[in-house]
Amino acid sequence: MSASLSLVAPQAPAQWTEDDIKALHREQPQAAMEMVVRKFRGRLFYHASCITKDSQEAYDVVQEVFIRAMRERRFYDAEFRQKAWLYRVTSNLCFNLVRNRKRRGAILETVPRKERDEGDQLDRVFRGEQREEILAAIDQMTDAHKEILLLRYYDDLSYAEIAAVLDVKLGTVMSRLSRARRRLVDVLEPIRAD
Amino acid sequence: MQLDCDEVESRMAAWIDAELSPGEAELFAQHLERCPDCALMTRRMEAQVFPPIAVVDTAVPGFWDAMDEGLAMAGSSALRGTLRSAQDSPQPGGVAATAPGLLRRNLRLPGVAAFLYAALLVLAVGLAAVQSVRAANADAARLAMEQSLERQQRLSATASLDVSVEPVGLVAQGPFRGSL
Ligand SMILES: [Zn+2]
Repeated sequence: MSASLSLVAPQAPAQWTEDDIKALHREQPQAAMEMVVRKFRGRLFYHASCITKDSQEAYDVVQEVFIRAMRERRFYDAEFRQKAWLYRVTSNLCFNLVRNRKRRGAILETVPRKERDEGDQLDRVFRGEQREEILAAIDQMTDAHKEILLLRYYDDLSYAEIAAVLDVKLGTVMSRLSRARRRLVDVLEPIRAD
Repeated sequence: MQLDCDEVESRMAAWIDAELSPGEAELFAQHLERCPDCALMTRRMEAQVFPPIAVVDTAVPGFWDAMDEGLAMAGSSALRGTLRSAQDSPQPGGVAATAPGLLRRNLRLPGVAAFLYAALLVLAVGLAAVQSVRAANADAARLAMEQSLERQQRLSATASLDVSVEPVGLVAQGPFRGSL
């Protein structure tokens, strides 16, 4: 019993389409899962880092995402949108994490200052004034606006891919992105005028 | 047909990102020519830049090792669930062969490949065990399955040592080509 090896060889997981991976899964399920991990982990880590602003938390989130992918029975189904699913789960886990952290932050206000400083390393992965400015602006936005800006301008997803990630219509992607950028104009221009 | 200001405003990002259809882009451009307000707002949005955010370097050797290990451990417990449900409702056909000799092979895969490899071994052994349950001896099969799980865990724990090997190539050369 020998399987076709035509799909197996590439050194660049990025070039593999979801259909390639699904085809590989029929022949070699273990290689398919590994391909998924290698293809997406860097991008998902970046996405998670942008939301959580903490590399360790982002790392843990991405690992959890892949564990969930391994347990998702539909993951290699013909109609299953792997990339959209992976980004959606990553976003959801990250936003939950950030919300919980904010809740914890409210409690931490009563904790002695020294302890708080040691625990607070949120921004250590980010550098550069301009970056901080735009990140600060994006941070002021709602989760929905923050997420769609990251997906488009940091993860480089197409509008169609974003629609799949957010499970909304293309028109909604257009209007939500426009509103988010309009909001950025409102937030950033007064800062730059100073 | 024309676009009004609201319709234009909701398409500004798509216009800048060149995601409008040619027809809509034409209507959008026509609106900008006769509406200074929308033209100005479009220009302000166009001036926005999104500089890359510096995230820790994932190209550092060994960066993903911890995740590989984590996935290997999670993989073994996920597999227990798979095996349990397989035992509840055995699939017709099942897996061709158990290959106990393969467990003694000197595996040097990166973690993820190692656990997937090990997972497949256990699945093969486990499903074969299911078939022997149907055949005759339930207790012996359960024992065999538990032993194979233990072996698989030892395998996962020791298999992420050599990260310099290309995992896909190794899998391709592995003995499990097309066995599932
Ligand atoms: Zn107008």
